[in-house]
Amino acid sequence: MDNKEIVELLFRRDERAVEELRQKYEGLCLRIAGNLLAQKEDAEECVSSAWFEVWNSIPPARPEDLRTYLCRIVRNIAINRLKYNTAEKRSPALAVSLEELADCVPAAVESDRLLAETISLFLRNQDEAHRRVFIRRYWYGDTVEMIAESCRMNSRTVATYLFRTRNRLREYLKKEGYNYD
Amino acid sequence: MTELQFFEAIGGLDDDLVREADSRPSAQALPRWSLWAAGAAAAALVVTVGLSALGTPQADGRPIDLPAAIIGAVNDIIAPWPRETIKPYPGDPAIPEVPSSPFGVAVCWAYDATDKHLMVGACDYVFTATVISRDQVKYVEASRYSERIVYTQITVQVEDNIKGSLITESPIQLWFRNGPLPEDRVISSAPEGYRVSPAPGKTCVLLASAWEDDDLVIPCGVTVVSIGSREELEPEEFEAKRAELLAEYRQAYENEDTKWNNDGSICRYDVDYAEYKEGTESPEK
Repeated sequence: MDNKEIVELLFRRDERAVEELRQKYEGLCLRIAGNLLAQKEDAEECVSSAWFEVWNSIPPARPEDLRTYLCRIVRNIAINRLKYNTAEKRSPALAVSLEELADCVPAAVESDRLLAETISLFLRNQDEAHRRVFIRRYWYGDTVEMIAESCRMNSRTVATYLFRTRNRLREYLKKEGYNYD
Repeated sequence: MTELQFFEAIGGLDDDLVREADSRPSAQALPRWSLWAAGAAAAALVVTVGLSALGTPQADGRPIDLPAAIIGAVNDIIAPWPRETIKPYPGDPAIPEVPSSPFGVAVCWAYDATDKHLMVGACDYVFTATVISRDQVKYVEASRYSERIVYTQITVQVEDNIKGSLITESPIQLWFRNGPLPEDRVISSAPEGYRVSPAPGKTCVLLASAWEDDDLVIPCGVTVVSIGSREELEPEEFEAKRAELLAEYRQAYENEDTKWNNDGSICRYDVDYAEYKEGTESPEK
């Protein structure tokens, strides 16, 4: 069943939609949640919550890209769980290391949405491989090894891509007026 | 803002970017090793073409000794192997998925080694440097056909960084990769523009890449461009040539062709090397 049909089922309040979503995207959702949360149970709970949230939000929402819509929901739920579990970076509960992002993080941001738009614009000006590696790491939360395998690179190259893209992003955000003092 | 808040904000990236990142990589995103593998395969091919002038015995019947050919006999700046040439394949090459096999790369295509935009895009570093010394030659046995790869190590003083940032405070060492070579260590022919290492005293534009062990290597088939020697040229002439080549390669960098997709590695002589090592050796899971 394609995503448009699943959305139509959701609009008709047909519970088969959730089953279709589960069959199609459960693995992907568990990967995203599992990348962020060290505990398997936490990840599974996040994914269950995501089905519920999709059910509640569609309608009225009618996402053009159901897959990304769902992934974003899972990611947000996982981050909220992460915050709930602990606010300390590098805690055992945190599967992805955030310390590597430290140099990119501006001191203060007025709007998360504007920051995301600025980073999107920055990424559009990077070549596909760098863009892909960055998003796989910091959006999907994939490990360096996972990225290396799927992109047919070695881990060292992936680490280099990330290092260089982070440096370029920092410079770009500085030029865009973000404060690093 | 905390790292976690930043990570959360990244969640708002545009849908199409998120979708693209988890889709099948396009040919454009193939890692750079394809280029050097293709270069090596192309060189292997031309080596097999047949013996030409360098491969023939010298007048007294002795075979040419390659180390001597590289280190001793090459007195001028960049001595080409001018015996056989291969013209670049017209148009952009198709980039298929490269099959791996115990015998090495099974595909071969040509690329234009004189295309500055392409070559600059494929290398990690582009810089001018003056050669201080030729240090050693290392032979590495290839796994097939009993061929050998020869690496010539030279010491240079970096003068201008065009792409990448190499240290300029002290000399650095880099390797020229030549070959592969047949068992008799005689190169029969080489791709167009193929060069051995430049002589001490010469200033050149060099295009190099960081290798797996963080060494700096000029890969097989990459052209070395000579500016000349300060001792041999008038200062005005030298500076004019230097400025011309600098402008040319800076322009090429601004419009670099990343079709071959440089993987952006960092060598041990990069100004950011210490920071990079610290960053990549931390537990990036």
